Amino acid sequence: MNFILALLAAAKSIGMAAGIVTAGKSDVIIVQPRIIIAPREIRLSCVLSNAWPADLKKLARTGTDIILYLIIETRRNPGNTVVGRVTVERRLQYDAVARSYIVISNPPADTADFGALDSALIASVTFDNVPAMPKASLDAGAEYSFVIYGVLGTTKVEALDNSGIDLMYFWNYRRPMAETERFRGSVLKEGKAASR
Amino acid sequence: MFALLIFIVLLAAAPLAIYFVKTAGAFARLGADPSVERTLQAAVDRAPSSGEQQAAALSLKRFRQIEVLRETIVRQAVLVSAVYFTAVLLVALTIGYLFISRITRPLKELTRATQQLAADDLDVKLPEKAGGEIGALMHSFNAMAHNLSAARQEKMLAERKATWQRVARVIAHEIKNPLTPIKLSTERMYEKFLSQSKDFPAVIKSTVDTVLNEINTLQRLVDTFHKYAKFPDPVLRPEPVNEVIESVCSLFSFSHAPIIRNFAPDLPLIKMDKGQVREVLSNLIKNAAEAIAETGRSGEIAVSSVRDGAMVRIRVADNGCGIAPENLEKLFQPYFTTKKGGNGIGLALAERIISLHGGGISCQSRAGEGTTFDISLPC
Repeated sequence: MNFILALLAAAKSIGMAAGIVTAGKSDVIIVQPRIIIAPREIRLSCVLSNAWPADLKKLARTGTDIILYLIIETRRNPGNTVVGRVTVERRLQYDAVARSYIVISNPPADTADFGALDSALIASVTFDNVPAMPKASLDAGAEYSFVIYGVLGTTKVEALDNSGIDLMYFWNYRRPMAETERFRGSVLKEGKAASR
Repeated sequence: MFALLIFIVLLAAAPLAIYFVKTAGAFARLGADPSVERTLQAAVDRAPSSGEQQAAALSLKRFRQIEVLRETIVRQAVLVSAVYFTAVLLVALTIGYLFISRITRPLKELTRATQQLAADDLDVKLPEKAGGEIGALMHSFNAMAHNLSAARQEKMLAERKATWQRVARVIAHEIKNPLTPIKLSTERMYEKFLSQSKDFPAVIKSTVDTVLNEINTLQRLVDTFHKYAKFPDPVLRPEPVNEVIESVCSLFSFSHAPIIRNFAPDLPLIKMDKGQVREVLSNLIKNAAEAIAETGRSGEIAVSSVRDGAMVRIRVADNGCGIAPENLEKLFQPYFTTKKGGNGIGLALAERIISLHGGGISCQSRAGEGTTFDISLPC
């Protein structure tokens, strides 16, 4: 078993090295990022496309927890400084007793059951109205952009003596990334809606 | 050498690679019976208690994880091994290449130095950085080159000493020859004077004639040596080489040795000092005629010219008495001569003239058969 773990570790190292070399060229892409200007905050919606390669889907079907994070960074310009960061977690589980798939979101804390895997997969990569930045924190005179990352977490595998494996392996250690255009703070504070 | 190294490494690694691929293949084929999954699912569904249901669900989960991870692990194992194998191969080849270079570089230097040594460059010296046997070999080579250089120096000194001895002997001999008649004539004149001989005036005249004659001989000898010692640099001008040769040939007419000419047409103009080259050719043709005369029979002198790459070769050949092998290598040394009455200046001067023209002169001869002189002059 240790040998297998060593192999996985080696594969991870190689994958990370390969990821560094090909940074920014992820098969997984973030589509339809939309800025929604709510009364009190700026929200963001998007979908992760190609997030479920065949091997990861097979692993999900086994009942292994699949943990996915969506990270939204608010950047202020000039200077491109990060002024806010929000992380949303999605956890896909399988209940062998109930024979259903469960998607757990946080925040906001929410749980949804699905009878079919495909429905659960779609739900797990669809992010609607994620609060990204309170309006009160925005400076009307500055410009803001939003950078969105997708990251897979580490999960424990019972068949490997509960060892943790980095699920980013299934994404070839490449994080999908998208950046919105820049918006004036005044537009975000007062505008009805801006989308991209 | 490097290709051999690659072959050896691949040969050594191939069985391991084949073994690994086969093992990985066997591992990948290790599949659980699909009916086990159905049985486990049934166990989950029919478990009498929640605890047993959870335990069965965990078993089912593990079973499915093994199925999925097995393929992933095998694929990764093959990938990691391939990368690792390639990296090890590259490292092994690099180290091997460096190691081979460490051996072959000194050997290449040694080969080059040996070629330099063979080309008479005795100042060659190898760096003695390498250790072990190669270092010892380099050290031995340097010692050998040093010894050769020292031996060459000694030989040169010995040759110079021998040359000076020969010069002294020739000069002594040449001076002694005129001195003897001077001495004998003077003694005879003195005796005639003491005996109040009637033919004393005639003897005085005879003695003075002899003395003056021998002084002239001595003067010519001194002039010849002076000519060699103070030879002027050639003044090079483009000249038609065949015309220069013909102008020399036409000066000579030997009854016992006719001159056969064979000149290549359309030879380029050669930069030469016409006077000096004529002197060389005169000397060679005169020597050839004397060599034929020494045989006591008639012969012929062949004079030819031919283009030889970037050079023009002039050949003067005779079928005279030839030169003994032991004398061939000393032929161009100054003051070396085998001829009665010769001063050993002619060929030494010829060699010097041709050398100053950027050319070369060589001699091939077989005693009793004849001699061939080749002169090469650059176009």
